[in-house]
Amino acid sequence: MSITIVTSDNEQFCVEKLVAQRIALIEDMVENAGDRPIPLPNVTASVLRKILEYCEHHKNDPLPPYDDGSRSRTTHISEWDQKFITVDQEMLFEIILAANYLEMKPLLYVRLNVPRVQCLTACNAVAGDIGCKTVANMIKGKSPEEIRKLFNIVNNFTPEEEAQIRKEAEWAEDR
Amino acid sequence: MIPTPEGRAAVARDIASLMETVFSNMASRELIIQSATNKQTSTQCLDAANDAMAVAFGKLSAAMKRERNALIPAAALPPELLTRIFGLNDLRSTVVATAVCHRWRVTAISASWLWTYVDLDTSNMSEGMASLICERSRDMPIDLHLRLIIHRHWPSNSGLPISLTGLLPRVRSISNLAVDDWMLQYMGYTPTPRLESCHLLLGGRPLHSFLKQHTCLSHLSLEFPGTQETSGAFHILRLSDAKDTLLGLRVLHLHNVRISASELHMIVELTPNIEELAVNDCISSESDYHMPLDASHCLRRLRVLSLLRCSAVFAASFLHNQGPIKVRSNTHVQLGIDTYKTPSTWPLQREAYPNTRLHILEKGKVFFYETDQSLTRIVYTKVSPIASFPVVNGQLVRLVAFPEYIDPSTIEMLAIHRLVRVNSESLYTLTHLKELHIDFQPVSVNEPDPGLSIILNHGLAASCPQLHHIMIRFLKSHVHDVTQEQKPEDDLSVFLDAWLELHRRVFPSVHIHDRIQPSRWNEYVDVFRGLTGEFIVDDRRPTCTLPKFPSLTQFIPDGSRRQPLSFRNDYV
Repeated sequence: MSITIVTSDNEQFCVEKLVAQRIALIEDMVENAGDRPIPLPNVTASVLRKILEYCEHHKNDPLPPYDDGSRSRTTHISEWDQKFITVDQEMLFEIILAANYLEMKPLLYVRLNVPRVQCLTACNAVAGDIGCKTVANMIKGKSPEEIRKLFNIVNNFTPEEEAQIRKEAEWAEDR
Repeated sequence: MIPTPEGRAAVARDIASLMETVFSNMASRELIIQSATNKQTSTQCLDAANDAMAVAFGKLSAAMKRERNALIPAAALPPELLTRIFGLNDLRSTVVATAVCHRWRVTAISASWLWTYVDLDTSNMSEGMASLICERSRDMPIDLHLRLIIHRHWPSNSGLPISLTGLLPRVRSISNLAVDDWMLQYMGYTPTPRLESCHLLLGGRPLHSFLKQHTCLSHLSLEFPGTQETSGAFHILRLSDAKDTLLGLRVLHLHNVRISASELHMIVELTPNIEELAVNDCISSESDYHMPLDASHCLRRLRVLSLLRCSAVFAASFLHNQGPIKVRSNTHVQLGIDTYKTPSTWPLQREAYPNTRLHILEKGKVFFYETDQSLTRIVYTKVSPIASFPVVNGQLVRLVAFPEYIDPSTIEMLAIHRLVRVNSESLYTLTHLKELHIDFQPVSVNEPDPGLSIILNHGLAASCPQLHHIMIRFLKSHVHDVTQEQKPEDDLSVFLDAWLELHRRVFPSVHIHDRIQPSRWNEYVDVFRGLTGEFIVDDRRPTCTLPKFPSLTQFIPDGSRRQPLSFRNDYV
């Protein structure tokens, strides 16, 4: 059984229901939509293709370890995921935003009827989280100026903020 | 979020009108004209006009930069994603993030949980930083992670700034705190009403006075850093002075401590409410087995007992069915013993059953240990939320046989220690067993026969009258590399060398999850002859979910960060 998804740029995707169920938002919509195609006005075709690629690859994944709230700070990313997330910056952030919007979750939680709360905790572990980890790794060890350069951000602090930041930098300095 | 086209047009109009007001600034114009006519105040007028223009221009520039950053995905991420990213790195990184742009700063500062895990290099944390953390973490409890410093062979807090004491009233957990003079002095005089969890590095100082002062402690971990065996002596003297604190303890971990079983017994008697006890990497100070004492009356609440990498002598003191710690039902026992050092005769010496490799301490409850030729850890897990396993009205046993705790340098020994045996005779105490699951993970090296031998016989039918389901799965994480001349279709036989003398009454269904070549079907049907129930060969690779031991409380939050569950609602 498959369902049809329509992206913001009007491309239609035919998705296996089992794969689509990994995406919480779609799962909710399927119930209401019946046989009609499901519109995703916030996601473009290129991003959805990427996300479906992720779902397809991970559809048989085991249950991620139960998360008791003490989230891991490890920023390790597996080999396949690393390759998956090696994209340009624009795509990286679009994946993060789309995964956040779609509330991705591992397939197994659906099948085992694990309560919804747990699904939401688990959704942190998927595509969006690889994206977040990638961004965290990009930031790690860099100076504010380097980070701005990396992401093309401009310094838009007020003079008061600047003064305060200088003070804080002194406090945090390494010896 | 990236703004919509309509939103952008509105912002652009706002900026344009701001620009008009800046450049048609009437007040400044008046001042400039005035400066020419009024000689006395002309310089003041020009200065004032300049300042006013600078302020107005600053505002305009800020508005434009803000608008520009709003178009940059990294700067425009929603706050919950930004803070999640910041939270993946350490606190220093969060401090850096606050200096990148206005939005990052506001977001990071408003997420108070980001500031509750303090893992800065605290040895030179300034007064300013301490108060900054205090302020930004608002009223939330603080987790303090110190850096280990060894000073003259002892762990030390040397160089810890006094500013740290400013955080102490808010501290919920501390890790890597050395028991030294600094600690006894400052921790002694500063009230820590929120301190629940403490990971202490034992040093030359006695502990009891500290424990006595911190009666709210519920989680305590004691560790000797390093491997100095001589320094491992543990001062339990006068621990009874801190009776009240010990009464409240729920979790106790001892790590790399030299302690005798009788000393542990004394501690156990002082901590009757303990739910989790871990005695890992500990060395017994006794040369011989400890005379067993029954402490089971003290451990009524014990849920988890972990004995990892302890000496054989020490572990044996527990394993004895009359040992000092008799675990009760529903307790998870995790055990890991260096099989190469353990005398293979010790179960015998400890009056264990002579021929069983699977050693079960208490009826249907606790743990399995295989000694002899195997490098195997066999784990029993009760159905727990962690395993997410469907419960079928009763007892389910899951054995996992896989090589673990192997030092790569000893890998050659695998050739000798290759066979994992699961013998149903060892299961005879499981009278209420309803389901038996055996997961086998073959070794990943070039092994002629990484075999699993499963012996299920009539005895099992008699001893486990309720057993109705057996499942054997192979968790093949590595492609098995067969060195013998094996045809591919013999694949399964390499793994499964099973003698199943099935009893109709007992096993209505058997599931084997593996790829079975069609050519071998007949053979397997032969093996399972007598089976009246379901016989399913699942061709799909099973999902490799190993049962998990309940995770022990983390004391050293290296690589982990506590994140309140409410973090989504953390900002206003």
